[in-house]
Amino acid sequence: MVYGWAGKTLQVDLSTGKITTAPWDSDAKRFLGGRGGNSWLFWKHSKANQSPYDPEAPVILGAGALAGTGLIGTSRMEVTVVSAAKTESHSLGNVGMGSMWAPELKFAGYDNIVIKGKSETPVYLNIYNDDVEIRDASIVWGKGTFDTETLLKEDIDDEEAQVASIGPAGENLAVQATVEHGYRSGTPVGSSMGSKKLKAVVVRGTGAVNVHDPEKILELNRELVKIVKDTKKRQGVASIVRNEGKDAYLQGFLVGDAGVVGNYESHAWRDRQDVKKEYEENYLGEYFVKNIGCFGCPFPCQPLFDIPEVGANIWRCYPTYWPWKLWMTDLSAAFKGTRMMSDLGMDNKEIATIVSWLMHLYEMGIVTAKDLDGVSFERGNPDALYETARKIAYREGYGNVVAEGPIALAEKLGKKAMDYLYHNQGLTMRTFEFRAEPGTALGEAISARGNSLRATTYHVVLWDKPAKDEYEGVDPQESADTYAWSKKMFGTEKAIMATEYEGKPAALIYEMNGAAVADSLGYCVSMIRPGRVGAPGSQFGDTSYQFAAERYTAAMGIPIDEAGLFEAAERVCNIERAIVVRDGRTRATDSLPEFFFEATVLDGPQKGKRLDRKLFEKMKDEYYSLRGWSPETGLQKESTLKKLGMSDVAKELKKMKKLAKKKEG
Amino acid sequence: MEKVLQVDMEKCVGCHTCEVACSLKHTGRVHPARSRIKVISYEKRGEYHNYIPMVCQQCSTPLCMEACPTNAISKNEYGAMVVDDQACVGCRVCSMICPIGGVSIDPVTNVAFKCDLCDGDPECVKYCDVEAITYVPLDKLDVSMKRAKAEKLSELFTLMQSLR
Repeated sequence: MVYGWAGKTLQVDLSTGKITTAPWDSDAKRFLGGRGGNSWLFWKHSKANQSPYDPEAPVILGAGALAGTGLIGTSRMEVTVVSAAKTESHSLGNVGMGSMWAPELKFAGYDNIVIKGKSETPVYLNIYNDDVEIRDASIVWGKGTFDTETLLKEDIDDEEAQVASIGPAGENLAVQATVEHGYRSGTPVGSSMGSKKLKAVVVRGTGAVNVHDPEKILELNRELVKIVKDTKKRQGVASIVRNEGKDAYLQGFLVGDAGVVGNYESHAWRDRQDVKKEYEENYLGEYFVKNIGCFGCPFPCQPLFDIPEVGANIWRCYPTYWPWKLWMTDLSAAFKGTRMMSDLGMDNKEIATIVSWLMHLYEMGIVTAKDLDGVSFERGNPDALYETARKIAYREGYGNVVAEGPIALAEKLGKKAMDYLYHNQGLTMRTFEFRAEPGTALGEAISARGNSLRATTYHVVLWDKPAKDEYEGVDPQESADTYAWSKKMFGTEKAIMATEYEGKPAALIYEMNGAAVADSLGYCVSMIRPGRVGAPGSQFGDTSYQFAAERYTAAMGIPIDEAGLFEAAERVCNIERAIVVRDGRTRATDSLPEFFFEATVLDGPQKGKRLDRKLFEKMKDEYYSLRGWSPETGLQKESTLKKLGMSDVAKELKKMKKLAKKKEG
Repeated sequence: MEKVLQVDMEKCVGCHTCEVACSLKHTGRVHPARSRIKVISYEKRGEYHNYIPMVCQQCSTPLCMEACPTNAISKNEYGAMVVDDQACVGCRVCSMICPIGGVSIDPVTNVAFKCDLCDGDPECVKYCDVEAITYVPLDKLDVSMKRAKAEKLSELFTLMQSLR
């Protein structure tokens, strides 16, 4: 009997209408499922340097390996496409999200879906167990994602169905478009669905997921519930992830110095009492409705807010992410923008960063309202955000240009505009202060997807700060334990200190592999990442990867330990590296804009910091060596792939002359 | 004292963990379609998200039991109405007559299935961290419901005092 996995991939060709299935076999299971599984399917189904809107370019939706196994916190799905938003390089684009879709796909009997081809007219894919049909989507084409969900459930007369859809932004091929499900979206992948005229993928499953040891799963779940209850007693509710929007994570951004103000113009938000007051009084108090949970997780962490005259939406980390980038203190206005973009189906962080860049240009007089259809980009003006989002989604005026990516607009606005646009392969650089965080910078440069929390040293480097400053909800004992852990794991406590270079490559690899484990198992990253110090995750006790390994064994019946999961993660990171290397990535392109090496931080606690080119390149040397890649070229070595059981991948890379030469390192 | 499952729908977050627990316990698989408890969602994205856990309340006048033409339903020592799989013919009369949707037909066995209170140790309750479902002695049920509602009034009372 197959445990955990459904054992099948659904294959859909929208050009011919042909629907088939393929076994989810042992080759595929090397990469677990979710992000890793999708990357494997992408490797098999995509071509080198494929255009994102090539009808044959695959859109892959997959459930995490553990989704539907009943283990608390395993609800995540992954969408993988040829990235349209990485306008400079394309190649791999992916995003993960929780809520209900992934388990539902398992109950319907599939691990993942590969969609190719292109429909002539708008359609949606409707999956009800074995009944899979391509249906007419004309009733929802042009609609926002909110109405789309309601209307499609009506169309198939099934309230229990789960919907992942695109909005007008995706239909109109704006590269910032997302796939939306339950307010959980993120990195742009939506225009790939739009180019196929695929409005949504609707899933309903009434089957079962087999698990190896049901009693053990219930026992492990009970254990976790107890840990959380005990933590709440010990630390108070503030330790609970995003509890009413208030936790160590948010505090880290709000009163810490993890993020930036404007277009990397300032860091002085730490002193902004007006912002803090607004945040605490408005955001927390009046408008909070309740937290909403993902499938099979009784620790809901998605805060639902309802603002009169605006409506309801989930608001997670966004308030700390970008309102300050737009110099906005009116959080209700920022909320309105988030909700609007959720409905239009677009990445609010990407859009906000573009607006932040335009505000910077406006402030310096490089652009005026005349250049931008009369819209004022005065700092803090929410209309600049609303108008930009709307114009991009519907391709009006300057929005029609930005919809092709911010570089397209910069080219139109001139060299100076280009100088202030900080991007990685065409994706904007978001909220991290890379100049003060070498590990985060290294992750951003090397990550396969780019622009990615999952690829940066998310917890390891970020969380020593909140611990030191004794934010609410941070357990001092955990802080001490974490430094000891860092010393043991990476030989130095500096490995988890944000501003240090030492030990970073090893810590980063640990983080990247850990993220790959979570994303491929479909595990909540708030739960199993070992960010012990004030990070989301602390409420769950010691959630080292042994936590995941034990649970994987109970569900799958395959004995595995932490090292075993990390080996699978190495495979996931290597298949992704193989994809981007196939499409042109080298050591030279694993880089960041010059700005981060040249311009110093102007104010705040990190004043005067910038990246040190020499130390940065040295970190890269070390990173490639530890990965078993060539430090000269950044290409993978045959021996490394062979050791990981990926000789098949090595063979193909060799044919393309994309393997490290024998004499290199 | 007999205990009952108490549902507080205001607390439900719509995570379906109860369905996972119920199906794992009763079928050994994760199979929400065969869960005896079911969370019904009333959702309109961008507007509202309400969730109501629907589960047999073990009525004091169990219509299902009275209506069953084969006498397949009986009350056990824990106060739960239980179905005798051998006697049940799957005629669905019980599910038609139940006022709260507490009994359905199992899609696999084709006989009636419903909450049996897990012989006095209901599995679903153990995972509901938000306490939308709790297992309460019958004589405490009433006061605990009243207390929950009174809490809100108490908040209002505090607010009024602060404004005074």
